[in-house]
Amino acid sequence: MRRLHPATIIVALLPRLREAIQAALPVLIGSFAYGHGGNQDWIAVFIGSFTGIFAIGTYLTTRFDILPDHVSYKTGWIFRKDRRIPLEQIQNVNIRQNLLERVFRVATVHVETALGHGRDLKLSVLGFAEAERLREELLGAVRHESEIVAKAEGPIVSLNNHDLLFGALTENHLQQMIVGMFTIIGPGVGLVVSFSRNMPPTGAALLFAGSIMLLFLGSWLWGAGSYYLKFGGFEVHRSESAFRISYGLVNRVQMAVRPGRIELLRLTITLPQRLMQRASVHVGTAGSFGEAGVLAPVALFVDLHRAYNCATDVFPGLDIADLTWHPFHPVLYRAAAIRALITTSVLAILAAILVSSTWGAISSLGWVAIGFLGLIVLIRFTTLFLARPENGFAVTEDFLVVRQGYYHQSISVMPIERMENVAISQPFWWKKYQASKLSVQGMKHRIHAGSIPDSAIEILMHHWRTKIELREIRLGIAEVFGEVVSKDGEDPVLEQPGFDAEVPFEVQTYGGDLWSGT
Amino acid sequence: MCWHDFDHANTGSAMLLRNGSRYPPYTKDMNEIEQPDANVLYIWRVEVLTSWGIVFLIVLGATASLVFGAGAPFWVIGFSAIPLGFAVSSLFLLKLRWERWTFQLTPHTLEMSHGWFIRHRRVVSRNRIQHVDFNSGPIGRKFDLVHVIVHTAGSTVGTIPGVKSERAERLRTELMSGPKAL
Repeated sequence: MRRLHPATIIVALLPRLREAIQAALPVLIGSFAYGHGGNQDWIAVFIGSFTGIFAIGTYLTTRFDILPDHVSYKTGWIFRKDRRIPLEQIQNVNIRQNLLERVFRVATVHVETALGHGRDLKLSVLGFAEAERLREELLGAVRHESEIVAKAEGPIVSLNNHDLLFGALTENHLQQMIVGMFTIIGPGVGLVVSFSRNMPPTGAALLFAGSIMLLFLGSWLWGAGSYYLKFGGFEVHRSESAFRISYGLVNRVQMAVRPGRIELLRLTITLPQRLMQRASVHVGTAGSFGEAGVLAPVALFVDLHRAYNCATDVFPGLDIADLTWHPFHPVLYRAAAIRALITTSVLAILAAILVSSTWGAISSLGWVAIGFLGLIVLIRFTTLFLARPENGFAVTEDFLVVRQGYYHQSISVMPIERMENVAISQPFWWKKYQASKLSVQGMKHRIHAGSIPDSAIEILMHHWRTKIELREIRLGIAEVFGEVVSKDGEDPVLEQPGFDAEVPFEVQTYGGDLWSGT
Repeated sequence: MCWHDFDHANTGSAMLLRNGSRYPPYTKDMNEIEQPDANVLYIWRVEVLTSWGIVFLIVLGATASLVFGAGAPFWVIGFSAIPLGFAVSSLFLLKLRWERWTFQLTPHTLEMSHGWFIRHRRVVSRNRIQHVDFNSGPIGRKFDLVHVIVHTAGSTVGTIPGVKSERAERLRTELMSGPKAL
């Protein structure tokens, strides 16, 4: 059985120390308030030291080992935990180092299964070299030669400083912006209101609009800065058993993703990136990538054609540049128009109420807020129509591809092989259009298509059933004769008599070809 | 059985192919389209009556206290007719809901479709089904019915309401047999 690195005590202690201080703080305050009467200081010290004992206990009691078919992990002294994870259920292996761990040259190894949410294996911490060796063993690649070759070949994608900066500035930071807005919106509004109290209404409105713009800009820059720190030194290596992704200027992260387990590829392009012909590619498996989010980046801010190549690298047989795209059914846009109409009329009613019931600076602040909301609705609505000639879907024998968005365009790909279930819903008034909403789900990720013709769904189902049947035939043959190996490029399974993978009809299209814009 | 023609594989959609045949062409091992047991209506009726009944009682209590406590006009009690109306109308719609609830076991998938206002269709790959739960309340047990809940690794795919327990056992065996994908 193997053990954790002794640095566990220190690395685990420091975060715990903060918790300990937090836990002991009320007692200390109480002690201070009563003029150090009784033994309360000692109680605080006792509570603090208690957490330290846990850190030592973690180091002393944790044991793990790799057995032929599973990982075994035992921890705890009073309450013992014994966990076994079958090797074939491992989705990805991540190694991450925060600043403290980098100082001690140790790392946290995170072995992820489809369950996620802490029910997988987190070894904190191991020596860095040992962590890397462990990862290779887990990925079933103890062949060190191949590793050396992969390293010698150099990364398939790397991000230089210039691209990193541009990527940081052009990436979509809407999420950080929203989080930032919510954290400072309270005091911010208070400040602006107190400033604008003695101003004329126009001045107040200008001040409010200006501060909203400043807020947008500031949170965008905040997002860009965190992107820069997060993805500095981004590199992707490809070996037979895994994609190896590493990045991070402060907190280093190394991820190993098994290509066979990838169930979603997402190629994203923001508007400035589209002007620069750049794109990013992320992949997702059934595991989550811890704090890094559910998707792992395999290419950031690369040329568009390189992004396409990268997609082909992840899913052999997928050529995004050469897909036959079909537009979504027009009913989707009609529904969006009705939704936008309802929202704007609600906003107009709100504005009318505002006019009749308030006055002065408060009224103008309300006007600006409603104006911004209306602007957002209008922008969303118009971009949907701007995006209309570009958005659509494609169904190939192996993949479902959906292309959505305008400012932040994304192309999502899911292999039909990895589909778990399909949900189709059709409001009864869509029946005459022969269109439905489609949601395709894998183990963790899902793809939505707003409105897709029923014939395309049938084709997708056909390919899906074919895949399942193929898998079963393969399994059956493998049971009797061993693994099926294709020779001279011909798949013996596809040659089975009576097996017909051809789809006997085409997707209905609406008003001509998608890309010609007619 | 014409309105769910489109929803299941073996009846084929109304789609005629260019060569004049129907699609999809599956015929082998195709189970027939099944429905929940008709007695599931009793379960649903009790569910509707309890949930709307509680709302009715709350509204009745609130309006009665307004009328007798705060001196509101007597017709205010009439507001409690609203949940009553909802309860009655949904009781009538339950029959429709049962009629539209179908499921079918095909060689590779389990298909469920239901709904009238918005038609839902859920198709699960059989080799991805991880486990199948049964769930039954007192009324379900009286009629020997269980709700069959289908889980995959990623999510709970769906619940087939009110299946005869013997059929449910068979369904579970059928769903859990066969090779499973990783």
